[in-house]
Amino acid sequence: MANLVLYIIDVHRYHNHVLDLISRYKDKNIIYVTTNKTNCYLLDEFVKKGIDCSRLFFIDCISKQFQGPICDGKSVLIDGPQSLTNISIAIDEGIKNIGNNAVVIIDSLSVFLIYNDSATLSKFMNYLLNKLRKDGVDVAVLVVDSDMDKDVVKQVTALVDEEIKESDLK
Amino acid sequence: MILLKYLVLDLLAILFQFTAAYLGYRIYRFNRLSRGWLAIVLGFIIQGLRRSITLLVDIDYIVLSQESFDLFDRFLAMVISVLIVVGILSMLRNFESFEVVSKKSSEIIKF
Repeated sequence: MANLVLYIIDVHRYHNHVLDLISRYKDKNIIYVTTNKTNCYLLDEFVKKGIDCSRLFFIDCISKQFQGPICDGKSVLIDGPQSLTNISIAIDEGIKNIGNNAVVIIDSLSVFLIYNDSATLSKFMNYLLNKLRKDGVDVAVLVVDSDMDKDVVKQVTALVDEEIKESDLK
Repeated sequence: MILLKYLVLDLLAILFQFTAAYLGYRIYRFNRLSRGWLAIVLGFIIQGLRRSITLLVDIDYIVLSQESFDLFDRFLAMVISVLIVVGILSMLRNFESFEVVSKKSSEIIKF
């Protein structure tokens, strides 16, 4: 049974909570959709924290814009967070290959909101979350707390099974 | 004087042409795949204007010499063709990128 969770993170402690979040899903195959930090940077940080990265795959929506380096060969580079169709294809192919003992971490809805208009992003999230639920895949959507009043975030809140605030993570 | 049946057909063609432009724009707004797609939308709009001008000339609302009109009409046709090529090319690149992402994801995300 898929578990869809919206994590509401304090922007000042964002990075620490991302690291904590990865640890929570250590038994799963993780597809990490990153929109604000390159896969290289994240991989370094995870390794420093002693996180096993052998089950971690990145859909990197940021490195290609800066022509950043690709690390460890476990990253699919996407043009940017506005390339929603490509992101969807990459997630879909990933799920097909690694099965449903997987979690898709979307980091973050707040950045997607910068690159996409509200209506488009709502349709995308609605499609993606329902598709992943149907496939039995867990989902963790990250959003910074200051974006909680945005319409898209409210709609995503209605779609997920659980809403976890930063204070609940401690 | 233009026959009524021609007038009706021309008006319908104009209506459908602008409808196509509107729907094309909605497709763009729906997924924002590529701004190049807007070239197709612009092509549809110009085609609608072209048909409108032809109709106005036919009913003698606009008076142009045959030579000027022919040149203008052909120029618009050429502009429309260029816009369609630009639009299709940008969509082709998009579809190629879908293929690339699909293959790469399939190769990379696995055990």
